[in-house]
Amino acid sequence: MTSRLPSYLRTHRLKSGLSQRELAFLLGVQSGAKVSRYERLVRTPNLHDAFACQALFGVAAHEIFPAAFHAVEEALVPPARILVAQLSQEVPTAEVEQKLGLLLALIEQGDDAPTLL
Amino acid sequence: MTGIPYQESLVLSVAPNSYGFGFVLFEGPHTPIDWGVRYLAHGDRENLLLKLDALLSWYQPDVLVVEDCATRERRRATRVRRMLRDIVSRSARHLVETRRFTRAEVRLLLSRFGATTKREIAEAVVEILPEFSVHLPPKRKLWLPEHPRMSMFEAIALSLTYYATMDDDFRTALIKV
Repeated sequence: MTSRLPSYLRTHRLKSGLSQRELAFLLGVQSGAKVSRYERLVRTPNLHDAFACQALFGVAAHEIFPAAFHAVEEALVPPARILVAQLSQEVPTAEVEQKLGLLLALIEQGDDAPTLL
Repeated sequence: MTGIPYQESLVLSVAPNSYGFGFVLFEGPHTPIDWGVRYLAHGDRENLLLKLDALLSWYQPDVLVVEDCATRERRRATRVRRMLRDIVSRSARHLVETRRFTRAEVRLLLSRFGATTKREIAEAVVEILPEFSVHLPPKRKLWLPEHPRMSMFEAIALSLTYYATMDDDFRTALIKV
């Protein structure tokens, strides 16, 4: 199923029965405000907190924070296009073809990324 | 509704009571996303609309499900009826399709569980969606008022009724659980 919400942190937290404050404590902070901001995506989770949520809930970080993941994915597309243009002018060796395959798949994936709330 | 299949549509269900309203958001018949109770001061219509607006703006649901209390079978307080009217008119303003179900329709769906009272409906909900078991309030003593969280279970039962009307397989599965 495609993700329709920008963050599923609240869903997983509610399912686990944890309060915002308890989750914040697990993430190493005292106040639940940080968790609240993550849930509303006012703040983008850092790598430590994203992985901590993955470890805690057993769900991949990109599924908990789909909007943050898609933002990173989309940000990769413009430089990937530039790199594709540069590589296209090079001699098409197997290595170049491999890089082009990777970059074109990334561009296609970025273009298909759903628009979240 | 938009072209989104109902299995992936966001369905918000709201059930008002004397404390405020319980709500649940589903992203498919087996996928509750958010749930809870929003408390309101007695007759605080402005706050009701504010809290409802917040839910509707943040989640942008495709469908809003509420109880149909226009039938004779269901007696609800004037204030709750007014709240339901406000909820429906506010969802229309957010261009959200509204679906209403009577308590009889909910009971019919959960008839396999023999659920007729609110408590029995809540217990049937827990049997269908065990993740809500931790939220089931203790059995009410006769001299105690209703627990605020019961409205949340009403909202869940309404959502399940909605999915049952959309999907015969889900309905059959519920009846045969």
